[in-house]
Amino acid sequence: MKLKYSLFSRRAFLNWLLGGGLAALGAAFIAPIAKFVIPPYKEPDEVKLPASDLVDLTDNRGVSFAWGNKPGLLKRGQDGALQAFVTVCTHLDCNVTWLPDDNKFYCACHQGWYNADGVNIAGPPPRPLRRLSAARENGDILIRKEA
Amino acid sequence: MKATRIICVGAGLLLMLSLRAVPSPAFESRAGAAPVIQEAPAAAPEGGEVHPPALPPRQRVGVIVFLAWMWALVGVLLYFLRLKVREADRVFRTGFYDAHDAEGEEPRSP
Amino acid sequence: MGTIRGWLDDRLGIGEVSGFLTKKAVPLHSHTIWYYTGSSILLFLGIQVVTGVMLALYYKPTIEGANASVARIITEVPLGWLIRSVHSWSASAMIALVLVHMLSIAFIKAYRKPREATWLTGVLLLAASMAFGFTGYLLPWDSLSLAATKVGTDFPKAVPLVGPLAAKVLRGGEDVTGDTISRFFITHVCILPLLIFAILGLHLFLVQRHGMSLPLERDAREEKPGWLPFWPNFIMRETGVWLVLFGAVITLAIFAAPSLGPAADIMAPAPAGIKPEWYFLFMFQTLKLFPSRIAGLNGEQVAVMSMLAGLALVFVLPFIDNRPTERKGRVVSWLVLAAFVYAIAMTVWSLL
Repeated sequence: MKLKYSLFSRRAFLNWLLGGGLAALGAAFIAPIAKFVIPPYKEPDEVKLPASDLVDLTDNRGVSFAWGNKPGLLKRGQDGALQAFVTVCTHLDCNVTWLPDDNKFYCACHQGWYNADGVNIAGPPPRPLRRLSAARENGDILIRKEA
Repeated sequence: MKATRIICVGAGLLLMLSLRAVPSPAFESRAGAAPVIQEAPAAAPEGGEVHPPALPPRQRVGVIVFLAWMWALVGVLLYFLRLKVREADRVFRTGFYDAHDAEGEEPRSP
Repeated sequence: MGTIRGWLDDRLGIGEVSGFLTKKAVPLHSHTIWYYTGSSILLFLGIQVVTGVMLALYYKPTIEGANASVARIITEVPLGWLIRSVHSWSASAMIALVLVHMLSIAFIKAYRKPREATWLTGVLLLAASMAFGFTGYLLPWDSLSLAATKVGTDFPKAVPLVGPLAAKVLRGGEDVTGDTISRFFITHVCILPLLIFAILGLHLFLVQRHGMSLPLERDAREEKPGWLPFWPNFIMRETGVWLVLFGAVITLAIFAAPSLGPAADIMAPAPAGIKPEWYFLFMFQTLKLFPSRIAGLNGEQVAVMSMLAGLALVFVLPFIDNRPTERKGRVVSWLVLAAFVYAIAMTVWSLL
């Protein structure tokens, strides 16, 4: 079906083409700029702790380590197995403390409590603490992302 | 003349639509590769010059393709601009711009 | 579209601006091409602001962090090398265009009445652009930039009375240290941008107020030249120029990305072959020519004062050459040409 009149003028069409072209050029640069501005988050693949740290795990105490830019804690669970946590509160990201005498993790920001296995038991935290896998390997303690 | 216009318009549309297909992955894979490849050069600063990391061949090709795409689009846009400039000059010569005091009015299509 | 424009026009009066733009006339003659230089400078200034902000997201202006953060930008941050490269090339392009723009104005004599104030703001903009280059050059804190800054902040000491104090204020102390980085950084990203936008605003206002100037031969012949409306005819041509310039700087930045030298050591001797950025080379070479003592006066002092005198002459040029189409004007043109040739010669010599 041939239209009697064109739906839009040649000038409007050309304007849209030009605008679209300039927008395409601009958009091609948005992605690289975004990649630059929004940095990728890099986590370590593993953290190695010396075997000597095991000595410090008496009396329900824990050993702190750095998991990238976040704090981590290595301790022994009820059954004596090694446990590793990322000690960042799941509520609003404050760093939590391990209280060996209370056998609980405590977050001072909004009085959040986690039990010895990192499960949230009181206060605002919505989820348990993030677990990492801890294993003995060739005398060192290797901490990795939980599979 | 008409055939040239149609070809250029088609090329322009194709280039604009190819935006998703071509350039971004070239940069995305480069950015994705960045944390893996760059670990070694980051150690260099202690002694010598730090150079931008050499691009792996796939990204090198990607950059060339992006540049070719960009210049092709610039060429097409320059062609459209030329059309618009000639039109604007023609309209100016008719005295259209002198003839009215209100800001730019464009004739609407029927 | 029309209703949005109408809404804005009712409240902001946009219609007046666009009305003005349609009436603004760009004269057509053999020298019209030079009219493109001004807006091209704006293009590169815009690129500098965008890339500069992006670089500042990762740059650390401390003596420990400066070089390392730039190294991180080049190697770790996705496309950091490209953003830095664009920033570096665009800086050179902008200063080159400022110089071309200034020269074309000087030859066309567009600084004459009533455009003297436009010229004055223009010279201030040139100074600001070169200050941008100078302060930015220190920020990567490699041995070359340390040496260049030490030399560059030593010159003001030669100015009598205020010199040593000025040098101390620039350096943030007696020597170039971490405090210098802090001062140069805040100057580069805050003080100079505020200044340049204020002066640029005045410059652009004056240009719009006085309209585009005509070259002298036209004035003499008293014929009315052809002209183009600024909007849309000239703007569309300018957009084309911008597209090509933008593509050129991106291409250059991709293929010729600058590297970074090792971190500066304020105790180490200066490396061999130090030189400033290209736009300072002619001054650098001129200073090398001056003997250490001239007629009993300190050679460096004479050199610095004569350079300041030269700069002052450039600044007050409209008041020196203020009579239309006379011999004085031609003498001034030859002097400007001579100065340009001198600068080129000195620059080339310093590179040999």
